[in-house]
Amino acid sequence: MEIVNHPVLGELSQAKTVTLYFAGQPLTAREGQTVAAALMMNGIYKFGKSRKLLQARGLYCANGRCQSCLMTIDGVEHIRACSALVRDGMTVEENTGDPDIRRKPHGN
Amino acid sequence: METEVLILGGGPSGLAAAYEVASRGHGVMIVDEAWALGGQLRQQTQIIDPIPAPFTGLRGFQLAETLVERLKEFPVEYLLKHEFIGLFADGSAGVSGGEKILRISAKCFVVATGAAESARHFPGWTLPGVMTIGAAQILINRERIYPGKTGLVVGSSDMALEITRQMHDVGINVIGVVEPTSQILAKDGKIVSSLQETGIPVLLQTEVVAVSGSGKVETVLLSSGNKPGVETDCQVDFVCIDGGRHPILEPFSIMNCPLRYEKELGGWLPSYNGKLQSTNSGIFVAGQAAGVTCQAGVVLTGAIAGINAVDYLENGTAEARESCKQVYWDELKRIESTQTPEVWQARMSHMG
Repeated sequence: MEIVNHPVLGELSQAKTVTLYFAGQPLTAREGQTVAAALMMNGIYKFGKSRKLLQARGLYCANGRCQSCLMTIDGVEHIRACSALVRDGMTVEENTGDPDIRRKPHGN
Repeated sequence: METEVLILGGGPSGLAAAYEVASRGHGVMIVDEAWALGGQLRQQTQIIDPIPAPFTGLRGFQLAETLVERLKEFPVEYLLKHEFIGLFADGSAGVSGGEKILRISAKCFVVATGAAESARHFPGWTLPGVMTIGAAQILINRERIYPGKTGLVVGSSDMALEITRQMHDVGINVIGVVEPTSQILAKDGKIVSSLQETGIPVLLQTEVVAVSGSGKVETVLLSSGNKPGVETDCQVDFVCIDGGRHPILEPFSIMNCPLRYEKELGGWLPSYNGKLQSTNSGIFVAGQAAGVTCQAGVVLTGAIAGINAVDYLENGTAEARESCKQVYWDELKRIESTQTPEVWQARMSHMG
């Protein structure tokens, strides 16, 4: 849920909205938001499963450090959802296992 | 790409260092992994105090804007969404945005990577809905969303109590702050009384036994040292962990800078001398990477490291720069030794 009225920052400005697709379902997010925040705003807290014990994982540090929020974004696995900004038409999937080693066309 | 001073980290210390270098006519490039400058100030809505002039009275995010704004008159280069991932054989930096690796040759470095939050571990700490206290602040102030409706905070540092107050102010029901030790860890009396005004209880000698829930936090089980054997269930939908902070060290590992352990400075950090220069010549350390401290300490060490980088480029110091550094050191001593005397003392002993 959005914080519309903030005691210090004032009323939320009318930002442009974008649509992203989580497991195929369209969700509305605010432009400039991170993928993690956009999902949580839509009531989604579980971003994937841990590789070994298959336990639920979600946002933990929100800061690009802990790697708890890894997701598949636009087909690229293991992207930190806390550090990726939403884009219109973006697809987001849970990460449920070991990553594929990235090769072209994704670089490296 | 080429620059004179490559600054790793575009938070308050990196921005302060950049100003000292750029305003003296030298080339600077700032690399930051985030998509925006300002570091952790971006989500801070409290007024930063104490802080030296001309920054007094600003809220955290306004301080970030001011530090960025003041660089606009200089030709500072920025490389956002890029991380420092390695050194080439010739000493130039490898920086990547995830696809290509850019090569940046620099005469010296200022490492201002900041600090990361440390965890506290209990069964269920990885469940979605358990997050760091800093994450909760990012969600409410930067992302403008609720981390949950009803939460519990574990740990009682100044940072934790300040953010707890901010969560209360946006309408979140924080049922309590639990602190395993027998006293509140926060040192700033104003922050403690500001939390007390809210009526949110601080439960001392209380620990989290476990957090549980189906795919998400639903229940937290607490045990109190005052009532051995009795465990209390609380219904919450999020839990914030305040485990303190520690310097971010990857660049120092890459550059083979020797580390030392200083408990009061946040644990392991690079050795550095009175010039804030690491054991490796030409690598300066600033901000939380040089020891976890207050915002004033972050900005001032950044500024000092920046001037020392200029000295390095010019193969010696100048009177004007020396007196400028002295002013910053005096301010740092005044603030750090009164706010957190143990940090100031540890810094002095660390510099040797």
